[in-house]
Parts: sequence; C-alpha cells; structure tokens
Amino acid sequence: MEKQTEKEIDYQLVRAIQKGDMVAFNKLVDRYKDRLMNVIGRMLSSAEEAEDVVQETFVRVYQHRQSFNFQNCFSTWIYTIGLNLARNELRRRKKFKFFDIDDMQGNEGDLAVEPKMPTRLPEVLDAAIRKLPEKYRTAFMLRDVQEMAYDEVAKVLDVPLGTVKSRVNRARMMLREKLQPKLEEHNALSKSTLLPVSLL
Amino acid sequence: MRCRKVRSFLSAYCNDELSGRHRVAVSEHLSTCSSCRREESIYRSMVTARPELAQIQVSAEFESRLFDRIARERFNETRTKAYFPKPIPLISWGRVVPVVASACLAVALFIVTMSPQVQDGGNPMMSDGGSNLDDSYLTAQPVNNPNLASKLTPEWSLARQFAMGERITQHTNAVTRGRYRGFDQPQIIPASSSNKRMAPYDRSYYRLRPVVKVYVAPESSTDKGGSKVY
Repeated sequence: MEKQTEKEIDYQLVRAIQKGDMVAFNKLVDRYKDRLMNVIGRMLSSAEEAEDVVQETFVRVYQHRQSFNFQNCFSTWIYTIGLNLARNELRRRKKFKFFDIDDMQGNEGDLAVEPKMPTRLPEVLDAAIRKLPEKYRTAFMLRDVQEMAYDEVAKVLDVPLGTVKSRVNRARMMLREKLQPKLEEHNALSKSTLLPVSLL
Repeated sequence: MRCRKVRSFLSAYCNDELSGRHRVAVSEHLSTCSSCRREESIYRSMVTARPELAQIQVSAEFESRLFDRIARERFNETRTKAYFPKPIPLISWGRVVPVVASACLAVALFIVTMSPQVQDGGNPMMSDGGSNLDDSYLTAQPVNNPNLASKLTPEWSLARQFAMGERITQHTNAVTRGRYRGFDQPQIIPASSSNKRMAPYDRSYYRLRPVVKVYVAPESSTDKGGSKVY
C-alpha cells in the first residue's frame, strides 16, 4: 500500500512537471537525488563523476518529461536513465584511462602510509560491494539496498526475472565469502578478550 | 533436507524471501545443524549491516548547479519556439500526391479519348470523313504480294524498277498510238490462249499490265473477235 502511495505521489509530480510546474520538479529532485547517488556512487569510483551522472539524469528527465507514459513506475524510468548513463561513463573510462597528476608527483612520503582498513562491518560490507562485478553489484544494490521489487529491478535492468534472482543470490554468496574471514576474526577476538568487541 | 540444499536457501531465508514448506524445512534443519547455523549468522550479519551502509549523498552545490542547467534548457526551449518556428515544408506530401494523381488521371483520359479506336468514323483525312469506306485495308496484310520488300530478291534494285516502269509506259503509249519501236506487229494474245510468250517487261512477278482493248474484225475461224485483253 505504501509503495502504491509513493507511486501515486510520483505520478502527481510528473503530471505537474509536464504542465510546467518547477516546484514539483524540485520535489522530485529531493525525492530521488540521494537514492540515485547511493546506487550510482557505488558504480563509479569518483563521487564527482557520480554527481555529474545524477545531474545529467535529472536533466534528461526534464528534457523528456512529455514522453513519460505512466505505464511503469517513475522510479523504474529514472533508475533506467541513471544506470544507462553510468554504464556509458564506465565504458568511456575504460577507453581512456585517467591518471591524477598528483599521483605522478614525487610524494614518496605519502606512499609509506598504508591505507586505512575498514574495521566496522558496514564499512567492510561497503568495500566488498564495490569489489563485486558490475552486473551483480547493480542487482544487489537495487534489490537489497534500495529495496526495490524483483520485477521492478528486472524492468530497470531489462533482464528476465529469473536472471535478477540469480544475480542477487550470486552477489550475496560472493559477499558472504568476503565477510566470512572478517567475521571469524571477530569471533576469535571476542573469545580471546574479556571486553565485548562488536563490529557493528 | 541436506546441508548443501539448505545453504542454497539460506540467503533467501535470511531476507524473508522463503515461504511455505521450504521455510519450514530450513528452520528444522537449522535447529539441528551447527555449521549451517554459522552460515546463517553470516547472512544475518549482512542483513543487519545493510541499513548501516554509508549513504552517499550529493554535494551542497548539486541543486544550484542542476537548476542552472534546467534554466538553460528552458531558455533554449523557449528561444527555439519563438525565434525558430517550425518551418513550412517546401514539399508537402499531403498536397503533392493529390495533384500528381489528378494529373496522371487527366493524361490517361486524354490518351484514351484521343485513341483512334475509340473515335467514331474512319480516317479523318478523307474529304467525306470516310464514313462509307472500308478501313480494313489499313490493317490488311497482302498475301503473296510479290512486290513486297520482304519478297525482294538480291538482284532487285530501285533503278531497275524505274526502268521497267518506263518501258511499260512507252509500250502502253505505243500500243495506244499505234507506234512500235523495236517491236514487230503487236502480238495479240487471246486471254484464254495458252501461249506463254510474254512481253519483255511482263515478268511473272508483275501485276501491272496495260489493259488494251482492241477490236479486231474476225478474219479466220480461229479469231473469236471481241475485245482482247493482254
């Protein structure tokens, strides 16, 4: 029921935007900017690039606002646009490898510092999600993090329902393999010390 | 249910995606198997940690930059409509097609009506309109006409034809005026005679023969009298 209410709210906002109401467009941006950033930010390595992609997504939504036919959910439509733009950006980055000039300068002192390892389980989970293959990562993010329905995820990714379930299951198994050593280490540590140690 | 099968259901079980007899079977197995319970705890930790994931948010300048772009888009749309109206096409198919179709129809009607087969009467070149003349000669094909060009022999030539025609004319004049040049007494050949002697110009492939009617008084029993046709 709550999902249908959100759907109806989206439809009302889109109808108002189609008539030229910019206040409605502002509300729509507020509703979806963080959701899109949460998904696209984990597809792309750079936060600036992810923000550009999210901005371009909203621009495309505004440009093609009249073409939305209210047959599917608005969330399906906007996620489809955003993910396609993110994939295009990934393909573009694969063609041209970008190197930060700061990395080329002689900052040997900074190289001696080891990168900070994640200690908390959410951080470990986040790091593991970023290392997943792109198609499993996208399916996992849409289903488990954004809590979208399986059929909606299938429409966004344009794959069959069984494929979505398979990818989500496979992503969970990969994350479990990455999390298992960390959790065993945590269990061993908690047994060896008197003080309770929590990863959460 | 065996451990291998239970572990394939564990992720769905921990995410509340399993129902019915599968859920009951997994629950029963977990109550008895410690290794599967350890696996379940890992999946439960993932489910618990998911809401704790860091939410990646947009920067503070995101909205201002976005609405700057949207304002530029709106300006472009307005300017396009105001200063660059939709041009009227030079060729509008909705107008060209009926005109071309009517022109083709008019030409077809003209051809049909001007066809000689449709017009009443015969050859309009005739002075009387040719209404009483038989027009079958226009399409009649002569049969066995030796004068046709297709019947021409290799030795045929236009000069020879003219020469023969000239001789015909001279002989005709000579016969009518009673003068012969180079000929003896005119050979009066009865029409029914089987005499095959022919005049020099009278070849088997000529149909043109001078028709001369000469009255000869009967002198002998062999003469029949009357008109003779050469």
